[in-house]
Amino acid sequence: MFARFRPPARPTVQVWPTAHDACGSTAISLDTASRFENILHAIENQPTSLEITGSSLVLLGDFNPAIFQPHWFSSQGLIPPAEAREAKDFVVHNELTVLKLPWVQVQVTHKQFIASTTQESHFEAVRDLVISIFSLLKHTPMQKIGINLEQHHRFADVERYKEFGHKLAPKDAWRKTLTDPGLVKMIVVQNTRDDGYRGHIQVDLEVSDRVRPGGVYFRVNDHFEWPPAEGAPGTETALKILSNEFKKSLNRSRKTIDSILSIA
Amino acid sequence: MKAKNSTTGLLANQARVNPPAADELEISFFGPSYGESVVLHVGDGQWLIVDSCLSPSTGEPQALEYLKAIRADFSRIRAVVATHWDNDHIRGLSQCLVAAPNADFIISGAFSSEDFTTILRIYDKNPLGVSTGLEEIDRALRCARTRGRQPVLAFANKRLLEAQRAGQQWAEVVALSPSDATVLEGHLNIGKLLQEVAKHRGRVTSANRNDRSIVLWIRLGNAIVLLGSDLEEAGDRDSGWSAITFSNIKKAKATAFKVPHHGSKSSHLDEVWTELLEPNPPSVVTPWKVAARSLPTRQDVERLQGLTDQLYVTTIPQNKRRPRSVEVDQMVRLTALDMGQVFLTTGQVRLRARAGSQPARWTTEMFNGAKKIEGQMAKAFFDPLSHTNRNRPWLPRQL
Amino acid sequence: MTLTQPDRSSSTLIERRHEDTAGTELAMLSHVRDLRLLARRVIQENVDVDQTVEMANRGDLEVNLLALNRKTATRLPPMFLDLRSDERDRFISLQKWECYVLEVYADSFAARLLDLTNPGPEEEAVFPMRRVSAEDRWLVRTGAVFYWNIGEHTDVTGRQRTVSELRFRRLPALTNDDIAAARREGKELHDWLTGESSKG
Repeated sequence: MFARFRPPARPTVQVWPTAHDACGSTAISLDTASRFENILHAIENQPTSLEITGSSLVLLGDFNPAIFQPHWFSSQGLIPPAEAREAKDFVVHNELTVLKLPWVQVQVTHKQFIASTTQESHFEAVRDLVISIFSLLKHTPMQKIGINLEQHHRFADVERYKEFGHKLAPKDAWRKTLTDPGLVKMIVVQNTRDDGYRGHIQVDLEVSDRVRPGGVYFRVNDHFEWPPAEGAPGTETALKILSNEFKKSLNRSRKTIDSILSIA
Repeated sequence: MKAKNSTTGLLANQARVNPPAADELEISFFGPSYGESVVLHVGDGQWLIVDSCLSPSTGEPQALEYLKAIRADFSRIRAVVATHWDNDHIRGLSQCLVAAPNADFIISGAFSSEDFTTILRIYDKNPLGVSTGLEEIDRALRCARTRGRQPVLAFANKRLLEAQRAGQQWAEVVALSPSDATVLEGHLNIGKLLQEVAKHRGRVTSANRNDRSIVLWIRLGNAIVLLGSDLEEAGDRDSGWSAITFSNIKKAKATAFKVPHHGSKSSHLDEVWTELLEPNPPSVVTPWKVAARSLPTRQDVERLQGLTDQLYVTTIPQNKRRPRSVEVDQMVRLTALDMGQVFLTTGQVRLRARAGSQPARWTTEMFNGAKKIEGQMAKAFFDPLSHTNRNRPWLPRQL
Repeated sequence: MTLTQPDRSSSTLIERRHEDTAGTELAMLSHVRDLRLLARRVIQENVDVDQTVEMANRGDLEVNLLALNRKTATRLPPMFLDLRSDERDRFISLQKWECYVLEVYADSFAARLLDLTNPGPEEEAVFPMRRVSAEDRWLVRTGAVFYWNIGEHTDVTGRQRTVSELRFRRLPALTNDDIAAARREGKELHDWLTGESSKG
């Protein structure tokens, strides 16, 4: 949990007194204030800090890229009209559509629909957008959906960074034949799901090429798939997963990343 | 909160877990400032759970937490009642029903509308991904259905439960509301709600839900309690409290009272105190707080103090800020006009009376911060007319 | 084993394939020099998507491809998102709440807040209406769900600001078909609830 916070520049603790009102409110106790100090201290002493985070939803099925024009989004009430008017970065074609709005990027091919954002404030908005789109296009055939979380973390201390890599993949066996071996990437997969769905969870960890030096990149791919039901395009299942599993998925992915980082 | 190491705390805790006698009517009121639950012992180890709220410390339904503490037999919970479907009255309700394998599920007759069940199915088939405010009702209905137990619909003057002893009727639970007119109007309102739900895809709104509240009259021997739920009064003889006081079917006067709708003025009717209650009954208020407002107000408390000198409250609502980082706190202050965390407690008022005592003599116990209101204590409650609150123009003057 | 920076000229940069993947992984934070150039190449020059992958492998395009299943690669185009300018346009939440509107007043509204960052007891707040964009005002009604985010926004120049933002959910209205389907199941539930289903 604490790995996601940026340490405050000046670690002062300011206790806001509660506004006096006739309910007999009391000021925050000293006990609360000292616990708050402990929290700040813990934040400051975390070995890593989150630098970049993003989320994406990837759907596999049969899509028509030409539909997804900015005007279509606003005419359906999915985005405010001003956003559609201001959209300048987009390519719309029968084979491929790429649309970039301030808070989301959408890419559609015949086989894939991808909506992603690097703004954590809009993770849920991206999910809502996808729910909205396929509530309207409910006859779109689809069979798989991935809820992905990506994060780049920076290690402040190079020794801890090295130690982290060593804990993930001890180098003794590699040194027998390689000189100064280094871990570049690791992939771990949970091949079954324990929530009743088919699919898997895959965690990729590698050296970050966005955050340098001392950056580590994580991607958690929470993958769901379902067999085609007779006569049903699969949209209903996708929407149920997005509605019921999205929050849980991101929380689980964050916990997974925090748990791996905790060995640092 | 419980004192952990003091002798008085230990003694209080021991008293709290002391179960009632077989012939004792017990009513335990839980009201943590948001939410309400009433647990009743209706004799011979049989229990009733009316509404549900969550314990702030464990997240478990308060009713189940208490029943576990006094080692009650969950198989003898006779019924779980949802008096209406306001969010603060049904949190954890389905868990209560799941834990009570032999309990009936009792709901307001105003739910008996196809539009209402359609709304439930809309949310089921088109989930929002956030709480809708109706999941508890939906889960409770599914539980009842799995058990093959049809829910009991409550209407005015319908006996919901009774118990016998030595061939005589000894305990009974009767609904005094909703009236027929309320049920009909409720169906119309739910029809409008369905259109809103379909169009706006948000949580269910209040939409006069309080009108359809179930008021319960519960008797064990000579001990009678009136649970007012959230029923309000609109000045109409066919609905609200007037429908009960004007009804041709009169029940014996209750000697204990759960004050309706958190003591609000909108739920007050003088005739309730003169025709449905014995004078000076022990009366319990469960408070409620939202944003900067809360119930009961100072004026409500003063009014209630004029009607009984045995006035109890499960807790006095407080406003607290949750500590966060300096940056976040600064942005909160720049963004919001007002912000606070509802300080939830596990306050409990417990009344007990022997079935055979004539007149019924209630013993009252208070736990975990519950208080008896005496003297000038009304000043501790929210005053919408105070200078501080006059400077909050968004506060409605009438609650 | 220490973590080392990969040699970017190495051919192994692109070799990230997993036989069992279904391709829902995503090279989201990739380096694309010019999205339009690439798209134009694909569309106007009729470049096959596989050829585009090959070009990327040769380093002609700095495309960071992840987890292409060889079997389906011909059907899956490369995943190239994010213009280079987006690399630095990001937001990291310091605090996030999921909220719903309790009451709407003349110039403000009250809401209940569920802390998504550090779950705990619910909170309440009152917001002035001016915090909601003019185009979103119609969304402010009792029961409406919105998200309140406080966090750090980094723009394309690398400048950081602490930002507080309210964003109301936009979901499309249900269709007549949706309502009809719910009515059918609702009737069945209603009949059971009222005992109608057990009558002859």
